[in-house]
Amino acid sequence: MSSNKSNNKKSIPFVFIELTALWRTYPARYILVILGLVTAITLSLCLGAVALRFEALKKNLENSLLSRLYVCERAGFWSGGGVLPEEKLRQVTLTKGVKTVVPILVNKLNPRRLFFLGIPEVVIGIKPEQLQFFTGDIRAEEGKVALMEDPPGAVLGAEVAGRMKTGAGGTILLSGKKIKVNGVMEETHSIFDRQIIIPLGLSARIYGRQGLYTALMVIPKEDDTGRDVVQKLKKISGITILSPGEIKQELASTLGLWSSLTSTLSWMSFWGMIVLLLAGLLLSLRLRFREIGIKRVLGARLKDIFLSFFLDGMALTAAGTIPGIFLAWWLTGWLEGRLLNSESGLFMFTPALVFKTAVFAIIIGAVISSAVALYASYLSPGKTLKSE
Amino acid sequence: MPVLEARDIHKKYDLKGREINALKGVSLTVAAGEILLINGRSGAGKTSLLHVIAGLEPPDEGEVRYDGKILNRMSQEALAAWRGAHLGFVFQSNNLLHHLDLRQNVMLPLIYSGYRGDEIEKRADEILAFMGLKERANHRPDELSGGERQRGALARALICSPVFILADEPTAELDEQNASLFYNLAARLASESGIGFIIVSHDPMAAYLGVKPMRLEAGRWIE
Repeated sequence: MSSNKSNNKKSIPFVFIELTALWRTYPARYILVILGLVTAITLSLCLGAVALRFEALKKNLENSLLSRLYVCERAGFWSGGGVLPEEKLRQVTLTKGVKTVVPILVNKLNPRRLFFLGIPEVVIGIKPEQLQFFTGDIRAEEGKVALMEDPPGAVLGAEVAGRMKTGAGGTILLSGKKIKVNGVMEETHSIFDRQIIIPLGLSARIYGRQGLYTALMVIPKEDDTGRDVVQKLKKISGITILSPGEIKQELASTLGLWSSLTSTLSWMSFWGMIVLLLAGLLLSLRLRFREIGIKRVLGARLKDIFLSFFLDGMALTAAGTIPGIFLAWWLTGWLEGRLLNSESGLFMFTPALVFKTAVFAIIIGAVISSAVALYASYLSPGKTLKSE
Repeated sequence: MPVLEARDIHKKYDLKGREINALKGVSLTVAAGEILLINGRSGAGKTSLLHVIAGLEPPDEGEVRYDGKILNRMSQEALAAWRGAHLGFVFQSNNLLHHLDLRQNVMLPLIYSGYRGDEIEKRADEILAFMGLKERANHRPDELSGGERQRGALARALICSPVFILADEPTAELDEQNASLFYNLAARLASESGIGFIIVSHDPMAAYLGVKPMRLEAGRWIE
């Protein structure tokens, strides 16, 4: 018989055959643990995707807003839509030290239409002559640059232009009105990529907010510091000044809070996975306690016991993680499409998030499985045999 | 001829703060082909003695020798290898792993001894046929009768051609017919195959073994 030792190997090692037999013998226990793990991974991924969205939004807003001074209603910062009347705008314009005031009308489009038409999320109305500096680096296609003297038209965010398959010189249809495209902004990886900027008057006519603005951008004169201007503007009642620092704070306290909250919940779900896996393996250890002693009597080495429990834990981890990832992927897509009707509104389900989750799950699974398997393999055979 | 020997074995247990002297200087010697029958009341130390001899628990004092080698100085891994190569063990009950079928249960000692391939299945089938269990090879333990389970356990103990078999109340849950079958088989294996047996049993059917039992009481031999 010794001639057969290790040279006539079967394709499937016995430890896997035994694992299959174990799962077949106790299906209810394994199914329950796996269902729990799938739920925990799915929840963790979905919440992680929401947290990523908030984080990205916060970064984008920081990137696009922090270099400027904004005047807005605190109650509804930026696209939230605090409404500032014409009269306040005039007061801001007349404030000493203010060089330029850019009144902005933001209209958030019905997200339902986004999915089907691929139109932008936000339309911003500003004065045509201010369009150039507001949008920063406008890159027109085929060498065309939107200039001050260009007739009033639209400037598209890079993503919008891509989705509408148009560029400088083309036309877009906005609420039934044909508007010429003056230029396409360079990709900024910020909120601007998903916006259309059109003249204020046109915007006001289309969206019906004549004489009202949702935000102002104020540029101080060269010899006045931003701080001086802010001090002066603060005297105008009914408006709140948010300096770059305050904007950052505001973002941190709203988007940052949501991001932290969803991240925490995501981690808690992951902890749920850890607890479930540990409980599942400890239950398995309890039920297989006597088996350890029997196997040791039959000549099983430490590695045999270790492998048996380690593979049990890793198989559970895989059985919970892989379907969990697919379920989260499907669920986020379904929620976006069916409930929110937007292509990328709430969840940011990225390959990096999936990769990180899978790697964490594997590491956690390996650590917990190793710990339980090590404990099992070092149990006294005599002690385990005496248990009932 | 290999000899299994226990010398002046002492073993204490701590049971919820209370010290239990399970073995108080027990010695025994059994050679291959011999049968040693041990009886005694519950708690007399019989199972503890078998565990110490098999190297499942270390003695507090004394030594266990196999062919002159002191077993209780060996590591757990070396002891596991020794058990796989030289020792078979038959328990009172619950001894077959119920997630595996009978053939897989019988194959286990060969697998742990490093054998691979179809040969182990062939060998398991041979030994199951010898025990009259060929038709039951694919059945799980809960689908077998008590007698079949115990014969299966003996088949598993025999598959590695052990020198000694330790049996702890092997017929406690069997009817008379199956018990007599078991003891007859053990006697045959001892005389024909030269396997040494240490059997702990109260069963009157153990008389089939034709040996005088040794009695263990409160951790000591009594006449």
